[in-house]
Amino acid sequence: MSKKTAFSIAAIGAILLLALVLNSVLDSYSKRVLNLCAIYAIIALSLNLVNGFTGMFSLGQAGFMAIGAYAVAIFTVPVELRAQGFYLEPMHPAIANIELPLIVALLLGGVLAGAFAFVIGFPVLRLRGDYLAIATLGFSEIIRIIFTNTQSITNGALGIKNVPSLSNMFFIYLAAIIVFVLMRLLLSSSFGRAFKAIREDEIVAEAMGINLFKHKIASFVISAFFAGIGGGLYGALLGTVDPKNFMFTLTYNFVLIIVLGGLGSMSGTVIASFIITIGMEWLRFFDDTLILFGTEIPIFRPGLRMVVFSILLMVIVLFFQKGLMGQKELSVDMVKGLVSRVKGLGKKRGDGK
Amino acid sequence: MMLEAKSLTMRFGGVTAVDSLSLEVPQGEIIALIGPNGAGKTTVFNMITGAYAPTSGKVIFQGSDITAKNPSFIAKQGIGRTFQNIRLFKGLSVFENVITAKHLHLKSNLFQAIFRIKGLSSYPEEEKRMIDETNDLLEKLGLIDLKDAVSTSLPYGKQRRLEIARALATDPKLLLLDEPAAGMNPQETIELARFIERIRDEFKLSVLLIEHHMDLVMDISKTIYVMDFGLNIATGTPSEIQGNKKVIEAYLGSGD
Ligand SMILES: Nc1ncnc2c1ncn2[C@@H]1O[C@H](COP(=O)(O)OP(=O)(O)O)[C@@H](O)[C@H]1O
Ligand SMILES: [Mg+2]
Repeated sequence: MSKKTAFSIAAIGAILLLALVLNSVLDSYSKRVLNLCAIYAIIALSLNLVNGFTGMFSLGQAGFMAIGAYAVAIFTVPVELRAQGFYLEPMHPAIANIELPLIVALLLGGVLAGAFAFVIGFPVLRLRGDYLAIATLGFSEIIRIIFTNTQSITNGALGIKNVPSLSNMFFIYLAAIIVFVLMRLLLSSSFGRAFKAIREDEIVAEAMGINLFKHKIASFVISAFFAGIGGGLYGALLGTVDPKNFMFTLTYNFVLIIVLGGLGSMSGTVIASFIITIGMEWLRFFDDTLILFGTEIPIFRPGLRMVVFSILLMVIVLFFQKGLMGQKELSVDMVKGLVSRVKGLGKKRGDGK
Repeated sequence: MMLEAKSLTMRFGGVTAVDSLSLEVPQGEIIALIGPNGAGKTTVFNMITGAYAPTSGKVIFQGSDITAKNPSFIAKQGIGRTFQNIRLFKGLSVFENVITAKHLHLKSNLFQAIFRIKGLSSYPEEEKRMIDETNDLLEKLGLIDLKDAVSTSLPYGKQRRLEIARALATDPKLLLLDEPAAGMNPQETIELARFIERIRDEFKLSVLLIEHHMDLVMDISKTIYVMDFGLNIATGTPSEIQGNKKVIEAYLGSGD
């Protein structure tokens, strides 16, 4: 075993242990926020695979998440509780009595999201740049609209309640780590190099024998698969799944995360997932009415949080195009370098220069 | 015959960039394509490699018709190329640039690549082979000391060489070089001539070369095709071309 592998395994063990401990000591609100961080990391990683590593511009994540979330919602609600929610129209008999364990439902959601990506990939991946972004965005909205109208399967606009709620940090962090490791293995393989080649220069990649369409669709389907799993976890975390949860504005969060973390950096994505998710919670006060010295500050109202985040996104795009990590990955050497640089700064100051 | 282009024509709107051009590259030879700027040389490369679908005409490679096939398919058949304006994978290292060009011959599938457990998956062996071959190639081309450098940080001449290394990594039988001596001084150009002959012998290549440096072209080509305004105005050995009136006029007329 190489030193690097040993280090990775130790790091994974430490994170899981920490998750286990935190799971039993934290209050439910903090747990929820930290769980959301991990779930957002899964989905942001999936988006970065396509946008940051393969150089395509996709905005379909909310749609793939919806597929995963509904797979979990439909199949994990206990059979006897279903009639209660489906009161406008009963659940379709073909699925009404099928109840699946969470893990199976999650995988099913991932597979269905991947299958959907595969089908729309044929027309959509021939488009480039902005056109691809618009098409994927469109399909993500189409999924939501379909789910709003398939009353006997998804309960339409009423949504599905009573989803056995998931709050186990160990489980969620384990899922996030598995996704991270699989993605890492993919990206460090020859296929990952092919994706990056496509990102750098499609024409050259093709001239070097890399089939553009095959690799783009592989990247897109894998991305959708992971987004489906992330969406399933998201649905289970919320405990209620309804079409309004999956508006295209949801995708915007993940765009923000990957731009902040660095397009093409997995560790950057994870770091940014925590910053953005915790930041979103922390900034909630922007959405509340604020009374200062007895007067109500008029701009503090629901929605201001999103304005703040939009401004943040613009600032990053304008001034820090590479985000936190650029295309680099966090490594022991990088941390060492950073530490020695900080020390170096301290010394210079100490010298009075 | 390694490559036969049969009356290739390429029109862009009203412009005929290449007008029924035919050429042949025999096995193991270095053939040159010359002509003033805008004559249509690069367009010929783009048609051979599938980047452009010719308006009419045919490309035959080792006896089979590859006209307008997918560029990645053509690369797999054994045609490698470099670009007139160096086009490296910018964010990637020298090593990564080259090993990426080995992907086309990978037999393992995506699952074998992800779940790469020695003994169960064929991928680890293939990865090791690709790494070894890449190191070997970098060694042969004198780039091994630079393997971890970011490709675009290399000096210009080395970048050109890296582009050739990357093309060689695809295991081509035919190598298309688009102005490999551009920006080089006379000394470097002489070295390049020897280098091209060396790789031709070492990698058992046939070479089709676009070049403006006449010394280089006259030095190493078996046959020279001259183009002007999309037309093939002369074909012959270096000595035949040197004295050809039409050729001299084409070059003088273009102000070169
Ligand atoms: N994709 C394209 N679209 C339109 N015109 C093109 C395209 N590619 C090449 N041309 C035109 O074809 C002609 C030949 O170009 P090119 O093959 O690059 O010449 P050369 O390599 O001999 O300098 C030029 O007039 C150029 O503008
Ligand atoms: Mg040219």
